[in-house]
Amino acid sequence: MAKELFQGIYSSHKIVFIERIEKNLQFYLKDKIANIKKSGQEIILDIDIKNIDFVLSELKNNPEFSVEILNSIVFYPSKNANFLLLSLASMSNNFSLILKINLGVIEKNEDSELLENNKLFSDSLSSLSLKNKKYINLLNYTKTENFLIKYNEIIEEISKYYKNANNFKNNKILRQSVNDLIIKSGVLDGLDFFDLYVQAEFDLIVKAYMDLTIAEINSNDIFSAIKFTDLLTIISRLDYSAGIFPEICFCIGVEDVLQIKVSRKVSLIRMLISELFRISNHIFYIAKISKVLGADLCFNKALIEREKVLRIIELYTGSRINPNFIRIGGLKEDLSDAKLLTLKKALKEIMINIDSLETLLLDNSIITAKLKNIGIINKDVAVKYGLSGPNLRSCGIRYDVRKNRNLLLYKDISFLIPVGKYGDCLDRVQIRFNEIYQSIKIIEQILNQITDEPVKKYLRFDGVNIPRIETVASVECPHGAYKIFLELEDEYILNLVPITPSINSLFCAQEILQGSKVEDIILIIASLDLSSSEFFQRFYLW
Amino acid sequence: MVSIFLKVIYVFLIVGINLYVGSYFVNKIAGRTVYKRGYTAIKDGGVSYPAFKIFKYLEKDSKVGLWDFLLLLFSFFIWVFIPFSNVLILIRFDNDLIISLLFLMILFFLFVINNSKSKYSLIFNNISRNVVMMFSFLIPLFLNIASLVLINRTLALKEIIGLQYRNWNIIYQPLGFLIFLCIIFLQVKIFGLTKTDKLFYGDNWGIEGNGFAKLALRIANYNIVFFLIVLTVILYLAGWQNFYFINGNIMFLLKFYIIFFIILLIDKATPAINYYKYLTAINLKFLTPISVVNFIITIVFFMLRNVYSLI
Repeated sequence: MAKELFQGIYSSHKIVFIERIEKNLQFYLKDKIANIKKSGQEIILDIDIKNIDFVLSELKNNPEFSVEILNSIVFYPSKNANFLLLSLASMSNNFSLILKINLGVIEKNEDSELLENNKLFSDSLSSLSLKNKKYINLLNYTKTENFLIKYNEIIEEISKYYKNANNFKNNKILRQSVNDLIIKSGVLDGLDFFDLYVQAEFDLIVKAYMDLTIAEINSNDIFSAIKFTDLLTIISRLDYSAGIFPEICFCIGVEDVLQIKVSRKVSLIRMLISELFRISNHIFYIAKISKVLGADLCFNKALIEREKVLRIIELYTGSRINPNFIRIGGLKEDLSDAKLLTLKKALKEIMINIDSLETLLLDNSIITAKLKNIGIINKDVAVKYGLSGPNLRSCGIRYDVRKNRNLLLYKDISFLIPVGKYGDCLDRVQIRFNEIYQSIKIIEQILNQITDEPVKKYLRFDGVNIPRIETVASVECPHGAYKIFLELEDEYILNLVPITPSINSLFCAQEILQGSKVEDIILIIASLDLSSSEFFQRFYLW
Repeated sequence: MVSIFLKVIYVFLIVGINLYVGSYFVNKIAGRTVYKRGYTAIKDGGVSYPAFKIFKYLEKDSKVGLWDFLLLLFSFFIWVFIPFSNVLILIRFDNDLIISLLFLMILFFLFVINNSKSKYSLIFNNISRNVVMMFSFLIPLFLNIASLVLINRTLALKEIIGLQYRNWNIIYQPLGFLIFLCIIFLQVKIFGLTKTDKLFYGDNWGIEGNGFAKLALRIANYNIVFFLIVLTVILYLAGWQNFYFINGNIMFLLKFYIIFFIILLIDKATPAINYYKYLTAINLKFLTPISVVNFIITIVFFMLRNVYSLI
């Protein structure tokens, strides 16, 4: 199976006509739009809160757009007003857009005024030695009751068109009503960002609710008022299992705004390292699943293989988890031929070992009996909840940002996007194995294509006056489509809003847990590959 | 009178020491197979680890019920009729095979009663399913013992061992021996003896019933597994019979630990089976049919030899 997949030759990417869609939007929505612009492969659509009903109905029902998917709803405060971001996507027309809704100025809470006048707070700001305090965003919404009521009303309006919008509501009643069984966060390995409330009849789950309020953190202004050149050192913490993807996504966004072109070698090396991270993440996933299944042998074998990949990553970037390797317009350093040779040697060994790991894990009837027909996600459910990445592909929908968008240089490389059939846990595990083989195939092609070119660009942004500008960029991370929305002014970041894929998988889990057994809870949640670091953000309002 | 007291002390010493050594090896193998990364290598399974673990159980506050004491008591009572050597038997009885199996069944019943105290219906559901699985494994077990009794024509364990002075019963009943091994292996799986991480254990044995109750449960688990292994050694591998120049008692110990280690290693190489549908499938589609076939073959052989005297 692995060999057949590996040796096949497959067509490259699909072509997207963003400009055509942009023109259509302008034609159909006309004066309802405040502003529209193209940002890389995405469209940012600026509208007012009054027009939300008209715009959403047009987007959903017009066959020119037919936007079926709502990925997430994110709130962020800006200087003049507060905004709501809807990340939308269309499968049939192959495009995605960000709908930016202007909420107007919202009354300030007493707490926030207190904060501004607080001496301790101002002292702590001065200790940070920030020159320009005007870039700092105070959280001027701070969940006043009036605001939350208004927020819920808006979301109800959105939920007429997209049913999964209800999940983003600020909802405390659900938590109180669903509490036959409470699974505390520490019980599940690596999944320490939610409490699971379950209502069950004997051992069948009737209703499940995941309470994410425990994941709130106090570091409110971690990304605001930071120079965007300094951000690269900490941005990989947004995804602890695949740290390179936030870095690449951020750099693509900034390069798009500043219109910096990168050399071919830079893109190739970015692809190479991102594929290495994809392999390491998927092997870690397999290790977690085999731990849940009690297959100790597979667990240990998978971790040993992951160690090999992590050591190569360490050799290249200097760090195993937080690479800090990508720079705006280039890379931190060049990769020598000796370094590339070690990867070439290791790849063959990794390929053989993972193939044997697959036979060890999935040729076992005990394991397949446990995985089969559990946690089934239909195509409709997957689209309804806006899943992306391997979880979506396991349901039988062929969608990958690497091929559907013009991302990096993936169009020059022959590889297959593996697709599942039934959408159960077995398909989800199998698809990870197949993606590892494809990643190895991609890396082998990249190693043959790398030529001698400079990879560094010495750019200075001190004292550069960039007008206030916003941009979006997206990459395909191992969990799904990963987007970063940026707001820049001069050399500072005003807002950095990550729009992450794990949130959709989590809401989807709430539905597929209904009707399954209590003993399968851990297996189903583990099979969705949730990345906990994606949830520690201040922009959600549940 | 004195000699009986001495015998009691001997038997419980043997059982106690082997319990200690057995749990030590279980922890050792579990600790060895954990993949150790970085500088945080955990030393899991030193010589004093089981004793330390007993104190750890006792340290926690918990209610101790009558059933916990009964469980502990009966887990040691099953050894009363088992002959450890030619001399070392506590109570001599002609049909000791049946009585010791009855004690095993009493222990299983106590498991059900002990678990029914659980506050949580969900947890009780899961555990009771597993205990019912333990009961269902008695069907192939009894069938194989019946076919073995047909060959040896006695229900006394001591006589069964004596009859194997020339050929071990494993030669006549290889299928029966394999089914015994399978059953012991599945019991180890159900109890989760070799599990290092209790968090992933679907049915919360580890979470409810800490303290003395947990200790009693654990000792009962070990005793059941040990009892089944000793039964296998006696029935199929000729118990304490001398092996050429090697002493019989040493052979008994060797056979016991060889089976014990084989089961531990198989257990580590296979995934957890705490899925009741799969357990029933193993029992109804694999173990019971084979033991029925074994029984029929034995009866046919018996009739041909003893009734028609053809063989």
